[in-house]
Amino acid sequence: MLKRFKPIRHKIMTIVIVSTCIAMALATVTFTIQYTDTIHNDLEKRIDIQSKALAQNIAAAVVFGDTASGKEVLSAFAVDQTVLAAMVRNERELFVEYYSDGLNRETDFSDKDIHFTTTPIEIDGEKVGDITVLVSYSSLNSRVYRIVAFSIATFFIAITIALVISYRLQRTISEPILELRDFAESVATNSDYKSRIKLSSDDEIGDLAEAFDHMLDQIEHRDNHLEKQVRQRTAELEKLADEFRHRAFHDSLTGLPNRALLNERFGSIISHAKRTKTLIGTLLLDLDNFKTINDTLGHDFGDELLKLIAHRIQTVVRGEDIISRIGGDEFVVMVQDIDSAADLEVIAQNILAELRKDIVLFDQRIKSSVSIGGALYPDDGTDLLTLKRNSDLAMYSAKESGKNQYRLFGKDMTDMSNQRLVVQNDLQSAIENGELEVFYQPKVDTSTGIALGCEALVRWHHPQEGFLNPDEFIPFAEENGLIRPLDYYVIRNVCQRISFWQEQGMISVPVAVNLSGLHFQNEDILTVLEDALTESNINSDMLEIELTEAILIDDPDRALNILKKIRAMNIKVSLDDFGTGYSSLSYLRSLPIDIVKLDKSFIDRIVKNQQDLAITKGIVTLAKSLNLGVVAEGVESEEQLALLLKMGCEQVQGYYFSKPQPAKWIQDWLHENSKTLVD
Amino acid sequence: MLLRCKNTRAKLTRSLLFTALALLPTLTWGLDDLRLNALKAAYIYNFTKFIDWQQRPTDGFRICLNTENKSLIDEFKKIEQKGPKVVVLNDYLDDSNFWKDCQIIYLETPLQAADKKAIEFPNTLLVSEVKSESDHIRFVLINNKLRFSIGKDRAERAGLSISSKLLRLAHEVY
Repeated sequence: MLKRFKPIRHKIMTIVIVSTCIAMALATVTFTIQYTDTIHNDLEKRIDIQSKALAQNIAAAVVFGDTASGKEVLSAFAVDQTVLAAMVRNERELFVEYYSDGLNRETDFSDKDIHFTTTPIEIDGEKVGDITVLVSYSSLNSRVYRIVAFSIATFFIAITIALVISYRLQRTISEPILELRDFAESVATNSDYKSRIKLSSDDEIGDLAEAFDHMLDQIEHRDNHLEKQVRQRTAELEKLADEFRHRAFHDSLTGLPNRALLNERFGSIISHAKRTKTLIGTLLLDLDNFKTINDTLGHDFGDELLKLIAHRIQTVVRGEDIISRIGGDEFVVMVQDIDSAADLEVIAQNILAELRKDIVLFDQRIKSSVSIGGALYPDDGTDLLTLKRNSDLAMYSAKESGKNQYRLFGKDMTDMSNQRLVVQNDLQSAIENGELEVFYQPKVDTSTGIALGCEALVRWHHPQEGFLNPDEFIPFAEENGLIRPLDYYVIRNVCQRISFWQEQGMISVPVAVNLSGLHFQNEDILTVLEDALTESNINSDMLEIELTEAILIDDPDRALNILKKIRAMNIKVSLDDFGTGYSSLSYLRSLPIDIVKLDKSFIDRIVKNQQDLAITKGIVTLAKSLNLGVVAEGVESEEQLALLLKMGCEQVQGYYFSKPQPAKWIQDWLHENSKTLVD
Repeated sequence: MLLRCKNTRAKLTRSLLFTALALLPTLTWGLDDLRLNALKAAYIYNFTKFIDWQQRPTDGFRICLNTENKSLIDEFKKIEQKGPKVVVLNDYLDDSNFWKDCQIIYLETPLQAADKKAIEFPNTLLVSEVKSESDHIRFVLINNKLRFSIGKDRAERAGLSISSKLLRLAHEVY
């Protein structure tokens, strides 16, 4: 019920009024009932007492028949207005009677408010008569009605007074509560936790106000604490943000700006260049052989090397130029305020000179070098992406030109880049889709011309680019690592071809497969060779591998170990392109090889160049003394053949006999030009 | 004829009425006397209820009569049903042995001096018909109603305590 009275003052007043009403009603009803009962009882008692008293008093008159005295006694009832009449009877008859004013014997006493009471008149226990008193309750009832009316009036007056008083008194309760409420709302709305309520109320409301203030103390304290924490956290976050920003724009290893910062600053660099009418040079630096160093000497060494490289670059580059590390072992130097390509080259050469110095880290001395590609704004590009791409092409050109050098971007580099992209994008699917075809070039006996073996050379039938020679995709495959699956493909294909020839009863000769130096970084190649031989069910001596001295550049010990294991599989090993590498002669003694293949470059000049003839002859003699087989590559004329025959070169290979041909063609050629070596 | 009948009836009625009226006193007289004696007896009996004797008899009141009124005696005798003992002692007025146990003595006639000595006992109520120097209660007829006068002091000297209720009814208190 109280829910209908939302304001607290209404509730208080309602409580007071209701409780007052209930109490007053109860009191009124109780009082009225009690009063009514009391006056009834009083009347009855009074009449009874009067009757008894008069009975005693009138007894003598009754027994002595003194009616006068009897009437005199009865007349005492006159003082009691409730007594309407009284009759005294003796044993025989009505002795005396009394009637109040206006009444007589003929009066009708049948009114419901008239009650009779009869009291015996006795003398010494002997009844001598009785006295009957007629009592009117009408006055009593009137009194009752009056008292009820009075009570009701008092009830309403009391309620009214209670209403007025409660209205005033409730304010002592509700006003502090409302004040507290308003204060709480104000605090909540304005979040003003410093405010305190000044409430002087010496009761629970006052206690509540004090508790509220205490709570605000706690909130303010906690608020301050939280604010302090927030400030601290904000500062930490800002610091962290700064760090993140720094990290976002700087390389974590070297501390140099990264690609993102370079992008961000490029705009201002361009603006400066336009304003000053100067050129911008982009130098892209790629550490030579960094991957090998990282793999062999460990990543920690590699990281320290990068940091050292970065430091060295900084020592030779001007302060206004931006050095950035854009990933891996690549750095970009953005050179401002230059007027020509020559200016750029000067800086590049300075960098090259600085980085060519020996490096000592962790008691390791290594030689480092870097390939640098350059591009100029605006000639070679007007946006960073183009400049970077073109300098990248230039860098690749530097790599392909022997590394450790600087190249400025040229238009022709774009074609090479396109070629690289073709290989990069399509070679994997080409391997899977059979776009690669293995061609075979025979190796023949120098004296008899009989086929002693073949060299497998892969060709690519590109759907769009057409027929691609190895030099058009092999170098790029070496760069991106696809040379591995390519060589695996050739190995399996050659083994299957040999198996097919054997199954068909055709002439089969050992076939040599070229292996990249990358295969000698781990022993996966051993598993591939073994699986290919097993799957094709051919003897291992039907397979040969050709490799160059480059396998020894990265990790000579590991390469030798793998090489030995290959020979242990009874697979012959040929050293290809002999004479074009670094320390070729010492490798003849130290490398576990079976055959030496003289590079075409030697053979090309033996007819016309005596020196080359002598060198070639010397190599042949040396090889034979070491019990190594010798194959001369690139034989294209009879004169060359004759000279090689004369110097004792056992096998020859070249266009003079056959260019690389598809398998079906070579198998016919072998049939015509070979004897069966393996049945 | 009707007129004659009417006249005769009227005469007869008048005669009867006169006779009744003439006889009324005698009739009344006859009734009053009986009633009077009954009242006297009743009164005397009822006096015991309003008078305290110093020594209240334990075996009932003894009412002694000095009267030759047989009717009165008969009425008193009726009272014996209620307890009191009624004794007629007309001839023994001077012999105290006969009166000493009476709580109430009714004297129809005044006492002689000698008699008075004989019956002056304490604790005895003297009720008489005529005024005397020793009676305590005296019957009187007033407006043909039996009343009584009370000698309060005498009664108190005799050791009797008369209730105010009885005193109030007395015609006279002397």
